[in-house]
Amino acid sequence: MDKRPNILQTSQLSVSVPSRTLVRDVTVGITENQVFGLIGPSGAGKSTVLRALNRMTDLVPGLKVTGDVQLHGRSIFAPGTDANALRAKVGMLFQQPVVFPASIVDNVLFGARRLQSLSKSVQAELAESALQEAALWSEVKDRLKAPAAKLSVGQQQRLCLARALATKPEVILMDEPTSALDPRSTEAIEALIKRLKSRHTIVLVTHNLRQARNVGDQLAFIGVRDGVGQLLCEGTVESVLNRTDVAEVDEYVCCQ
Amino acid sequence: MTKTLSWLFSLLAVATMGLLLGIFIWQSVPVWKHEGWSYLWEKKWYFRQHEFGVMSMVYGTLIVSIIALVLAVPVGWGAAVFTSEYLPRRVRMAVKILIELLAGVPGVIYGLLGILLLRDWVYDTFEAFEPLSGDTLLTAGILLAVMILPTVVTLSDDALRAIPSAQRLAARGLGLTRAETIFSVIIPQAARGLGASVLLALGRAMGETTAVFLVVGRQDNNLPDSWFSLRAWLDSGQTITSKLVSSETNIAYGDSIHWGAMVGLGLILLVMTGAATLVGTFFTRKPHA
Amino acid sequence: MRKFLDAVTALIAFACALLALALLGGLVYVIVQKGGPAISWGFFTEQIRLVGAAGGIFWNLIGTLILLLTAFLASAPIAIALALMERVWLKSETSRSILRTGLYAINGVPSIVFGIFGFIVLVQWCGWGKSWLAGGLILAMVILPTVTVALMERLKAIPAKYVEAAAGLGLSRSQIIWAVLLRQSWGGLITGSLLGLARAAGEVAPIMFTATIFAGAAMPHAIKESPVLSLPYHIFILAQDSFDPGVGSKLWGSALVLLGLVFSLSLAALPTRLRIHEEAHHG
Repeated sequence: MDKRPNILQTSQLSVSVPSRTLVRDVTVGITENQVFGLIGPSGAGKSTVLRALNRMTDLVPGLKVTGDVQLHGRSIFAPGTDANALRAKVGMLFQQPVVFPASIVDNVLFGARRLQSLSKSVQAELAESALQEAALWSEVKDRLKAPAAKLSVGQQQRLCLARALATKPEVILMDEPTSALDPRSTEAIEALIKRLKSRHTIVLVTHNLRQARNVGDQLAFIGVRDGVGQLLCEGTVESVLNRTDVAEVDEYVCCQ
Repeated sequence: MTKTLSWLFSLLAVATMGLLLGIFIWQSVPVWKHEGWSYLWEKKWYFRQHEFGVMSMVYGTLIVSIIALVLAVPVGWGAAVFTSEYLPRRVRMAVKILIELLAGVPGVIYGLLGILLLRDWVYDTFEAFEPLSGDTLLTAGILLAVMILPTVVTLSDDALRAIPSAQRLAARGLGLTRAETIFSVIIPQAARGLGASVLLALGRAMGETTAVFLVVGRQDNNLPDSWFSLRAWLDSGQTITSKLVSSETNIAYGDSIHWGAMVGLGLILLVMTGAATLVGTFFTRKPHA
Repeated sequence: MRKFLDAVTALIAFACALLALALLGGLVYVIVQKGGPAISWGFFTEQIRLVGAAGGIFWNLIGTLILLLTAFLASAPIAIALALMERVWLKSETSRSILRTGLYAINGVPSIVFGIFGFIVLVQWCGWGKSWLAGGLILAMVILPTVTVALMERLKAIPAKYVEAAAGLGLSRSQIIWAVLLRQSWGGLITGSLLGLARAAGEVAPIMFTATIFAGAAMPHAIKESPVLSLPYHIFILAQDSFDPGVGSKLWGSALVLLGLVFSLSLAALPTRLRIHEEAHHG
């Protein structure tokens, strides 16, 4: 088995709103340089768990997170933790690409340039390397100053990825990053994910079993039991998808 | 039947507004004939001598409105950022309701408070500059600032809230602080709406009548040598509205030139507020829509 | 440094919001504190005596209510007609947009301009002199955009399926208007009217040359030369005059009553407005 340490470790992670618990007691370890997939039916709380990993949950009033998440063995909820610095280290990609109304290059540097002061030449290098890493460089290198909104949706999603990469994250959280994309763009993103894991750790929420099989290393299934979302099983991709003894998994897999 | 009635009543409304505009143009013709362009450019208002120039009143209207904007816009934008970016939705609604109540307080009540509280405060605070009384352009400007503050807050809050929350989440997901998100993502995108809030507030400020009348001092022909003189703010003055609502309106009717001069003031006011309102309304629209 | 700026921004924004609310609180506090002692049963039921120094504001209150009722009755049909024009009869988007822009423009017209207009047309040309009807009609012009826009928004919120269902039953266009559109949007008319009247109730400029005098009027029995007393004008005149303590307390009492009237009208409009807001959020 893999001896590498867990970069992210949740223990008894629960998230609730005043009226009910959304997801309860999730304990998983996420190994470095792997693609860790979160699957399960809609509404079970996959995205909620994902958002707790970089404390995006702080931004929703009334949302209460209990339990713990450790990054490199240190709790991200410890007093004195800078949640903003954490989010730069644990980046995020959303379902719909969200570009800011600015040029392509300004979008790439949007976060990085504010996190630290960078000289002009460093900025240019950083923009290029981030766009290279997101496999967008060749498509946009001649029009870096063009408005980002002019790009296709698939390109926009890769731009968002480049923007997250520019802040040098260790972990990238992806919340169904291809659900708004056409098959070709989806393929491009999936190829990217496989490449990125050599230098990053990726946590991927997906609806798509084909995608989970294609890019995932480890998988966790979050399903609804007793009206609350919880972790029902985890392990390698095939081991999870073959757990026919867990009724929820069986139903989810056969109905896809 | 329903259609006929709709057309009939709508045409009645359009005709009335057309009549209003027509009357203000037509009834002011005598003064334009009598004074020519000097009606606009000169500072003289001696109705017994039939000398009419509106400059000191245009000056008064602009100065009190500018004072009001300078005071109310920063506070209004700040408050809007707070309600829109920091408050949860329900609390935000409650605060907005309170602020809209503030917007509904009648001008005459603001005027009353101005007489009671503000007049003496201005007189005492600026004693060093020896104002003749507490009824000054500055007093009217401060009072107007309070009156237009709710307009600025409400419109700016709407403009900020119109930015999709996905933009906020994306910026926070990159590790930006709330303040960085506000300044680099939200405000640039809401700029048009924020600008509109200023123009619409300007329109309100220029047209506000009762409160200004009660504290501005209503001194005719007070135009400083320099438009940029700050000391002049501590003199009594006259605005277009404070002149229109004074008893001179009753005296003037029947003397076509004097009446023309009064109606002409109304026309100038209509042009000034109309321009601010229309440009402001245009600004609230999306650039491409 | 970034954390510091973040905190400073939050603090400044909070201070601005607090200042805005403190102004409202302070204003209400001063009016209540100064006007409270004048309030009694007699204040509402007696007429003014001694140039406002004694008695009550009965006829001022009645006069203001007459003006508001007239403004409501005069603006409602016009607002319905204009809103139907915008939602139903006008076919091209350009003409609709012109209509909406026109309404915003009317909303921006200073009320004193309406006052002078009423003075010329109704008081002088029609020879009404100061008349409650002139004041009511001019106030109707002041509130027309508010009422119309509220009604238009309500009409816009009616789902197309109701109109389709009614058309499917074979109802004619005007039957659909009465049975579906107007029946479901009368709340918008009421909300808009309440908001408009809240503004109209405190206006001095539109009525001082057209409808209201300071003393010596009671119930009007005709149109010509039939002025009324009114609350805002009462305050307006007393505020310029003496600060005789007797007048003072009556003056602040009148201000408190006016403020109460204005706030009640705006708050009465609140439930429908909130419901529209909720629907816009969840529907």
